[in-house]
Amino acid sequence: MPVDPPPGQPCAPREPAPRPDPDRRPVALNAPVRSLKMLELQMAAGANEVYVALRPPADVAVSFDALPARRDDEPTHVPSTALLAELVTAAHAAGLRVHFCADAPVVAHGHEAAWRAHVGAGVDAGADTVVVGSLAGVARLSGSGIPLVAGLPMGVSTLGYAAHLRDAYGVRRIVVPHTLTLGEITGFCTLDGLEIEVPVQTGAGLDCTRCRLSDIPGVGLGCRAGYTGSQADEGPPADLGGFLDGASDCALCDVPALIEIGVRAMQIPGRESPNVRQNAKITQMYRRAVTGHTAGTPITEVIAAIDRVELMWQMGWLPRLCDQQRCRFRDTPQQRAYV
Amino acid sequence: MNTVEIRLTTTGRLDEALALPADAIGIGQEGCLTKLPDADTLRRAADRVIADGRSFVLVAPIAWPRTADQVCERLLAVATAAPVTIAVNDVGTALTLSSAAPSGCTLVAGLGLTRARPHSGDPDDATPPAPLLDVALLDLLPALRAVEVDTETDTAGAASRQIRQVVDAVPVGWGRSCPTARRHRTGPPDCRPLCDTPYTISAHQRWRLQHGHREPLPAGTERPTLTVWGNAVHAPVRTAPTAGYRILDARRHTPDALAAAVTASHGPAPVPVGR
Repeated sequence: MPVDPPPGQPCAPREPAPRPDPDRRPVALNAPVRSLKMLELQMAAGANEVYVALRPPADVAVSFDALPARRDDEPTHVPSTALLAELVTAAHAAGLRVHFCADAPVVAHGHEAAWRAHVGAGVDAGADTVVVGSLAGVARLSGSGIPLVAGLPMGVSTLGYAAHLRDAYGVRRIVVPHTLTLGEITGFCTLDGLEIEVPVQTGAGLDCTRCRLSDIPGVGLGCRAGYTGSQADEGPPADLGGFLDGASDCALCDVPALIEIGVRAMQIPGRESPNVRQNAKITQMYRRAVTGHTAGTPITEVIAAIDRVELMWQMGWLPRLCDQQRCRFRDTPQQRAYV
Repeated sequence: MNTVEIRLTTTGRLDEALALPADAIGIGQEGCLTKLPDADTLRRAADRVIADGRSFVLVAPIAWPRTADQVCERLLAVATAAPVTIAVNDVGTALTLSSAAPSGCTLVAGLGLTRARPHSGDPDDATPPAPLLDVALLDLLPALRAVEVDTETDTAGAASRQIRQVVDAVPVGWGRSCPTARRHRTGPPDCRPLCDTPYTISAHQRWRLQHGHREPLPAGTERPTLTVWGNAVHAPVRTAPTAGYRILDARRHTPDALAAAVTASHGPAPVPVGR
């Protein structure tokens, strides 16, 4: 049985530490935006791509992307097409690429025309790509000339599926699932003609593509909830804590490895963020790691520098992520339990 | 009369299932390759079931990059030896089997492919709309001739395909990081025996974005009670089955109860689906 990483410490660097390849294309940080203030903060933090979603028409009861209109009472959508156009224009003026999220996991037959119109609104606003959430959605837009991103809800969990999206539908970027190992992501990066985007700083442990535990009334995210219970032969119910929460959120220590295996973009979570400044701070941390690696600075030194100055690191990141071994790509109990 | 399938996870209760008047016997589960018996064991089981005049259903676990090749190899090793049905649970496996499965093999969209549920677009109510069948996805995978769903899924638009309903539980999630293995501080393959016994869990705290802590549920909140078999999370059934093909999960029944459930599930003629 492998030994757990020591709690209370940033992850040890991999040996040998990956060296920057000077010929490698720069990795992008793709950050969430739903307002001009959020865009301003994310740009200042070092994002060079942003993703946005638009509120669906009032007569449609469903969201046309991967989040509900509100999660835990926080809004997730840009409220109007006018603001969307303003955001895209401002992002482009600053040299940022804009991804428009139309990545609903499923579009009911009766909503197909409204979904297409919704996609059209994003394209008309000037978005550079459309993020799609189902194979059917990809097929609907294939051949339209719109650059397509296969989004997280698609659950592209095999190389064969990824190659099919590229070959049959012209998809050029794939957002891989949260729950992949570094070695598995390396496999995706070997596929020619595909950009691989990796979600960082969030996760679930559960397979998000197939989950029906989100937004339970009064409970919210069922994967993060606290549970009591027991196995049949264990005796009376006990407090199991976050029994279903196998999240391995933080990938900061492995930013150099992600860059060197050829990941094209890292996705910062948080369209639903209740604290847009803290959300931008996450982007800033990853920007420091990317910049540090490009400059040849070991990640341990980058993190030591962060540790000296960042209150959020000391008060939030270390105790909640490092101490809890919520390391995305390290040998932790969460990853050892991967099926 | 309804068609009744008994669904087993391993061959451990195969003799018991063969003694019951079920039309089909399935082996496997959606969540985990580790639990799936090896190809030789599956072939022998298929031979016995088919020789007894029943249909044999093989349930493909959801494939991940490191398991995808093994999943397809094991399925094809069985399918090339016997005319089986395979319930496919991810698009990658569906694409592979659509071209590689022998002509006598029937492919069915398993529960892992029929989990689609939109999110709410209502800013005042985040409660998710009812789950529905992604018929457009199925149209892109024409080799899948039937679909497995739970009793809560709206099957409108799927009239051209046979609907097979799992009647014992509603799967609501599968862990890539298996909660049962994690609880026991282990993982595949050592965790294989642990998922024969379920956890019954009840939510008592919620996690909030605003602060990242767990806090007590608000007064009056209905506490979700779930059953966890290995990495599969099931909710109780709230809706009566309507399809003419019914799948019984043997794990949820004692031998006597399973026999009674098979008899009861054959029941009267089915009510047309496609609500």
